[in-house]
Amino acid sequence: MNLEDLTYCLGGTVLSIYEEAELVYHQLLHEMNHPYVQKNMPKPTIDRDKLMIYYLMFRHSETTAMARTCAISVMLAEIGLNTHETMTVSPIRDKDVVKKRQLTVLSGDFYSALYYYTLVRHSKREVVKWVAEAIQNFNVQKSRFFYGKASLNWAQKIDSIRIIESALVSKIATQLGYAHFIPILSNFFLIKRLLVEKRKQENADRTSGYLLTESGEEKATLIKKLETEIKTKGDQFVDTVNTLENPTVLLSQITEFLHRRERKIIEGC
Amino acid sequence: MTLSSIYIEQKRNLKSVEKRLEVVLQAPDPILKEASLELLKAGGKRIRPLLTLLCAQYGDPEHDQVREAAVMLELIHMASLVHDDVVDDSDLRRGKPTVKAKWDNRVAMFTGDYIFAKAIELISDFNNEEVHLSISKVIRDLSLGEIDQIKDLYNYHQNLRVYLRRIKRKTALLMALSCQLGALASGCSSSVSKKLYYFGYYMGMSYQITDDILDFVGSEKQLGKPAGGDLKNGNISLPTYFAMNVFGLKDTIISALEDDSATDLKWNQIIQAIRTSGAIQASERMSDAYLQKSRDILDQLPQIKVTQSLKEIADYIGTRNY
Repeated sequence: MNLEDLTYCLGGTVLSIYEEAELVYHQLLHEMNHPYVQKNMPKPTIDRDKLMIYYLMFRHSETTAMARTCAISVMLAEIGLNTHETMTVSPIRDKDVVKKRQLTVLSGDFYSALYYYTLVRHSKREVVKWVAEAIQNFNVQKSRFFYGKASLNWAQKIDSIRIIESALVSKIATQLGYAHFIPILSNFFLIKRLLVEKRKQENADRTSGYLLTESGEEKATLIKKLETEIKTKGDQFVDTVNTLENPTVLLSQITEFLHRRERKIIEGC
Repeated sequence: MTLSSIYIEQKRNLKSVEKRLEVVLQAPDPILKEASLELLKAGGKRIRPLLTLLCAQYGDPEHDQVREAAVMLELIHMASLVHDDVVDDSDLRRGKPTVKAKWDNRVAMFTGDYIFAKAIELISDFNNEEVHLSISKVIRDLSLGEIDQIKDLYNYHQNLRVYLRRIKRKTALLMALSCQLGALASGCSSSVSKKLYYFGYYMGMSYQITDDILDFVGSEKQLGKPAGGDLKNGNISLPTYFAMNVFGLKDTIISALEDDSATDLKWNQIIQAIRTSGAIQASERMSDAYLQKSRDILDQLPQIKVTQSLKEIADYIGTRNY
């Protein structure tokens, strides 16, 4: 069964998996709605690819409604962490900028609180625990990356970014019995992140990135290194996808989705 | 029975909570570990774990989940303090450098998120739906209360209800939960746990009002920061509300809040004016009214030794000066 064959009947209407994912996305927006935050803060970035992956994984072991709840809850935790990622460290005086910083903290806390609130209302305590453990790991890895005493070489940095970017999705995959998906998933989300890092360098955007030019290093050199890395990881990703032996139905669906997205994302650059 | 005798009586249990906190906060990363443990060592009154331990005496206080509930509540409180210091841009807490001052805002985010996740992990083992429903609602409301506080900054037209809802979410609900969890974790009936919830809630309201009063009348040494900080940051707390709306200081306060270059001298004059306006006494009366409600609830509970201890804590809330 490929992705197009995945359907869901809603009130007599048959929805494709993409329409279902759209529904999940809108429900997520509804859950995280807070008028004051919305009015005063930029719209949080929602990784719709991650949302789709969570949904596909949960859908395989849960009812459609429960899969939706679980996918939304885990995404809320992701959004909470991503919101805190945008925290700046420099001193500020301007009242509006101060307010934005305060809301960065508090809206992140609000989204994190919602993940627990939503799962508990559907008696999914085991998922609460998985996410809590993944959040701890995420923060440990982040702290090591930015403040670790040992300086990391390029390969170590790339590997750390891969672990951090897929901390939650890897945990959920493991807990649902799909640990063998992790190389594919983590490679895909690493490529996505490296593209973001490249864009940040090109646009001289110094907010919340992993990679900054090191002393003596030219920006152009870093961009070149990133391009090479993206190409290498992209090739590895395609190789892994093409050499999968007897993949399960779910793994086929996930790789099909990610493969399409990967081509689109790379072409988009 | 005095407050210190209650602490002495609970010393063994509180020590056990402290030890467990130390174990739980052994993060596998040196900075997260140091930041978390320094926060723990900075101390505090541990009022929330104390309430949990005391309320558990209405059931079986030896139940394993009682200590875990107390630990979880302190972790949630600690996580919110780390993030609050970023929100308030505070460099000192209890006279010691905050996580954000010692490291930076980003480490404070990592630490707060780590501790919060630890708390949730710990509580996820509780096999009681009612417990989870209560905790998750309080945690959500706690974050909503913090957002409300930012929303209401410099809002001179806020009414009393807005203030009360804010402090309910910000402080009272976690106190209420501390009492309720002690009861639920020790196997008390729903009726007892509900009463203890309301006892904690009313006491929490009084606790926050007292905090807001102390921000005006406390010394820098007692507060660990200069007096009047809330007002200078645009936070309209109860004494300011009364000073503006009952005691005729509205224009004076608004003009200072709207003046970005207001001097320390001007602020000190305003703080003094609020102190002497009658606003402090009016706030104290409201705090006392909440305390009386909490005492009334205690009258409905079994009159055992712990009820007397809770009365003592309520009395302390009403008279504390730090």
